[in-house]
Amino acid sequence: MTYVLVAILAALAAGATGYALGSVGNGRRRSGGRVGPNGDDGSGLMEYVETVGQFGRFVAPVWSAHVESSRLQMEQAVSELVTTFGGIVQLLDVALSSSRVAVSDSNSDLFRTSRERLGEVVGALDSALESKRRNLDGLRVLLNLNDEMKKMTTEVTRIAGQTHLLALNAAIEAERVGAAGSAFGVVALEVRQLADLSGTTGQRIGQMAEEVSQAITATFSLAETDARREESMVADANQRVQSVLDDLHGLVSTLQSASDDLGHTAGDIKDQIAASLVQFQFQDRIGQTLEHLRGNIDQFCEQLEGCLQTGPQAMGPQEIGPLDWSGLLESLKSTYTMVEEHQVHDSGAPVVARESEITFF
Amino acid sequence: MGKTILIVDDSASVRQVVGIALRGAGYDVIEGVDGADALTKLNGQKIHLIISDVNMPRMDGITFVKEAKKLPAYKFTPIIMLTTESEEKKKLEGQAAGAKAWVVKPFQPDQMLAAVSKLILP
Repeated sequence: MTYVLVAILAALAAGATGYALGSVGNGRRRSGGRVGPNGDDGSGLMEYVETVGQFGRFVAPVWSAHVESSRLQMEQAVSELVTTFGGIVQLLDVALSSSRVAVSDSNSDLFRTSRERLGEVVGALDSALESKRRNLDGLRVLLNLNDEMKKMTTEVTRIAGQTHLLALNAAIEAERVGAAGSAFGVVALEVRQLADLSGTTGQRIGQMAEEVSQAITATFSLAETDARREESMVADANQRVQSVLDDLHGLVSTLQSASDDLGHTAGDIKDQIAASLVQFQFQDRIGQTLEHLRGNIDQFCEQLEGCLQTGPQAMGPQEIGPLDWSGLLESLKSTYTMVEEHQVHDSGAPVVARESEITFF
Repeated sequence: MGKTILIVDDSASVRQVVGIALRGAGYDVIEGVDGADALTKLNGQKIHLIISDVNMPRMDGITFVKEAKKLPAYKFTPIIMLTTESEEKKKLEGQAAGAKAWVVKPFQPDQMLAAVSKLILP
């Protein structure tokens, strides 16, 4: 837009200058032999001069106002954009920091408490199982003792049998001795009866021991079955606990991974926004160029007004001063602050903005 | 407490862009909209570095640097000129006024932060 404005202004200035130059002096026409727009000797020229004056008074100021208005609007809009993007960058920073802290803390807390609680449950089950094992050991001891008792009753029964035989032999010997052995025969009889009684008692004890043994064996068998089932249950519980922990770990890992991905994406977005903020510096440079251009348009208006200050209606051709186009260009050039402005001025073509440079003193 | 940097620029967007880069690096930032406004910020508070534009209304950057250097509290405060001006003559004016570095816009945040880190008061 600025190049078009400059071209139009230059063309108008050249046209106005041409007429002015062609009108001063001895009233000669321009070198190309051109006459006034109406082909007459003065009125057409004055009409043209009047329109140039009106251009300077009415058109150029509007251009200038548009340039300034655009510059201000751009500055305001870019400023608001920078504020908004800057806010987004700060919010992303805060969100990223909070997310990192929240996820890592919640992970460690969750796993710690889960392990502790589930560990307590499994520990209680293990304790119960251990108690059961101790009971089984006690039953084993009882069973062994009962076996000993059975052996002892067998021995008692065997001794009673031998005693019975011994007493029987003693009774036979006493009978054979006759009257002298009758008292001994009574004793042998009593001994045989006691041996019979002992044998009977031994057998009853043996039967009782066998029943006790069967009862203990049955109890032991039941307890062993229970213990195996409980061992299986505890193992299953352990497996389930591990499975729950694995599921929990998987879930949290997925959340962590998603959070990391979001964090990376948010970080990338933040970096890209921050990088794009740098590009908004164009506003400062473009704003300055527009300001320089607006100033030059205003100068052009002033120069035009200065040339036509008495008004075209009241003056003759000899009263119109020339427009100083080269002075106007030099004035514009003197306002430049950027190398790019000089390059555009000299080449008349757009140029690419230079990279930043830094000089230390 | 972070170190404080004064940014002086009549362009709000430039002040914001520079401010975002500096705050992101942990610096505290105060702003002046031109040289005259910035002088009112030099009220005795500790400022570790100044970044100033050159072309500004009311008081330009070179004049501001000269005035700041007259104040005992800021005589040794390092100043970086951040401007679109790249003419050698202007740079020499800045150097003579007391500036320590001259950065031509558009600046790159990394370069600016490196210059700040190099020059800022301890």
